[in-house]
Amino acid sequence: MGKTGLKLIDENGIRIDGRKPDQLRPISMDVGVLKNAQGSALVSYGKTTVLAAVYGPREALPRHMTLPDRAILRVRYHMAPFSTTERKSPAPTRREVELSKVIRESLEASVFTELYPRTTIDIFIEVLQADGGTRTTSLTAASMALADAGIPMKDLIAGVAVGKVNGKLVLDINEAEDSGGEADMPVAMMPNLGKIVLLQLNGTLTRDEFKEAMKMSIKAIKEIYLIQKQTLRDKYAKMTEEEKEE
Amino acid sequence: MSSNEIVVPGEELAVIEEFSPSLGAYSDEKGFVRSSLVGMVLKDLINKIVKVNPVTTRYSFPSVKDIVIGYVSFLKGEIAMVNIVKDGNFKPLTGQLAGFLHISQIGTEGRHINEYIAPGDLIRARVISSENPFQLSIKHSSLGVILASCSQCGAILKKEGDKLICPKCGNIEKRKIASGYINLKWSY
Amino acid sequence: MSVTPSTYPLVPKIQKDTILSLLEVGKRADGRGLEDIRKVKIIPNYIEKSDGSALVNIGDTVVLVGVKVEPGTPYPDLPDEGILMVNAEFVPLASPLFEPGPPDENAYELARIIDRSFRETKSIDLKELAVQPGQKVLVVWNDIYVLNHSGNLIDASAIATLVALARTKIPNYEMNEEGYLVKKEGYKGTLKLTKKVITATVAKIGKYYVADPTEEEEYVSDARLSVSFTEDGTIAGMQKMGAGSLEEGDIDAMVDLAWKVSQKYFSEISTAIGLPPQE
Repeated sequence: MGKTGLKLIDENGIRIDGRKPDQLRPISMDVGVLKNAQGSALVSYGKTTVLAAVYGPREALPRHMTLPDRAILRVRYHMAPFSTTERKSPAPTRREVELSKVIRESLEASVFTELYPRTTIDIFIEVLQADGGTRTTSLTAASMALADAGIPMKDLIAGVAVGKVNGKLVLDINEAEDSGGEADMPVAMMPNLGKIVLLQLNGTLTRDEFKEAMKMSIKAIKEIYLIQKQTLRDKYAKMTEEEKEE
Repeated sequence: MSSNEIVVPGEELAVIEEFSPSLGAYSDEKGFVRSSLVGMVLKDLINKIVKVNPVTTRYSFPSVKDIVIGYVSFLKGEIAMVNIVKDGNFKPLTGQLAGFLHISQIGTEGRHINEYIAPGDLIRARVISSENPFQLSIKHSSLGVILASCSQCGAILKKEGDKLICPKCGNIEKRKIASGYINLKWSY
Repeated sequence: MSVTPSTYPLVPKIQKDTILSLLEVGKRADGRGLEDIRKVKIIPNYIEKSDGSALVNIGDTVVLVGVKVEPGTPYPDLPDEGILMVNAEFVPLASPLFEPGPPDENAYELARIIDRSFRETKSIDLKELAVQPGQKVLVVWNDIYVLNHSGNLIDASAIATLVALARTKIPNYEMNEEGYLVKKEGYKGTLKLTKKVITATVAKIGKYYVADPTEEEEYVSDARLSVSFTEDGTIAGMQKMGAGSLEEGDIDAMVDLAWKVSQKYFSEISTAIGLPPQE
């Protein structure tokens, strides 16, 4: 039984939404969905839906905010008022401030900021529907929006959260599993380089469980990365085809 | 790898012993050459260079020799500061950017900069450096002021011959006028 | 405090020159005629977790409305009515001009225009939302989220709001022993929409009136007029926007055009939500 006494996984190891412990939710992705932004992406992990947009490189005001040798990143993670079970006030919460920071630091590891000194690259993330794993979905979306914007990066970033419910490790947890479970561990990495850029743990795991959770998340991140790659390729293969026809 | 294949950031293109990375590519700490963009791979077998041509860029970030449109924000000594707002075709850039003009890139050195431009002027300029704030030049005849307002009454100036004349108060102003100065049809 | 927007004046003057030259020959930059609207696309129930929602595109403008129905306390002067709260967020991903932070005057203005149109027409039966009159009522939170600003946010928001409210389900709240409203499984029914109300905006540029203005057209316009209508043609709200002025003749012409436009919106909405036009 979990914290709330809910049974989140049955005798056959099947979760409340019918998934196996190591199974991802259905994932969908699209890029270039907004006209005004330099780059944008819409990513869903199950019911969790995140829209990310990139503006820049552009002038940052006041100018003293900028750096002489690189671009700064400004990241805002924000939840729409209707994204949660109970309406969320649009004013930023402490949680959103923290998540904006950890997402920014993850993205800093991938972006070649040194190419655009004294500018800012702005990344705006809006959670349109929250059903667990919003920060990892946000990172996957933000990374694709940056790729769509044509901003040079070392690698794409993909993320997923592993949780522990009813004493068992489960992949890509939804909200019920997050709130009723014993642990939530979001992980994000640059899959080609094998570098982890985000790691948090909320809850308790044994050393062995932690090792297993890392393994599960890395395996899943590689699966998500393949979807990212395919989405970007399909989008631009289609676009370049259309250009040829014109 | 054929040049028709689209790669994404992080994808391995070669090892450093085979090819050196050029635009859109980089080499990681383990000696692999990887893409940094979504784009098409181009391998130059003679010079042993690999590059990735971007396919995603929607709005451009200025590079050297590009033409841009901007406003003169203020003059200070031999320098004019410019807010770059559009590319040369009035299409959006990645965002608003900064530029500056030195007197040597405007006209005759030693003369006062306000004989050529004034704050508020809209100019067409060439980019001559690669970082924000961009160094600009308006020396060419096609470059310079493309729209300006009267320093006396604020009306939009019209170009007549090589002069800018205020249709409202008759004031005549001196500028480094671009050959493509825009004479507006409607006055407001 | 409201301050004159201090963006640079010269580029818009060039744009205005171009736009006016086109209008003179009956054209617009995107190829539309003066009274044409852009393509409208409506996706109802876009946010599964909300109680009602709609994603609306007018051309490149994208607006998402999500509705949540939650318990609250009634206004003292209207103790036996529920509450409709309309809020608008111009989130920074929608435009290079939008900054993070609390809503600016344009967001408040937009929310209040939409709010008034529904409030004044009593389009929603708020009495039905009084769970325990004077004590506990339901609040309908209508959150307007602008995702891409390419002009005419008011009309897009009005369409999205109407579709979202028409599709809103009322959660099943029950009073517990301590006197709190507790959400139970399932829904009690749908929100009762007694009238459909829509808002249509017309911009005046030079001597021309254009329907469904783009961002560029709004920017160079002398003034805009947003007019709310119910389906029977009753005017249910108006707002003149922009720093220019309008003459009586302008207003008549703009209201006429707004009515034509609103009928197009009503027809798009009926198709999208499958509701027959009101008798």
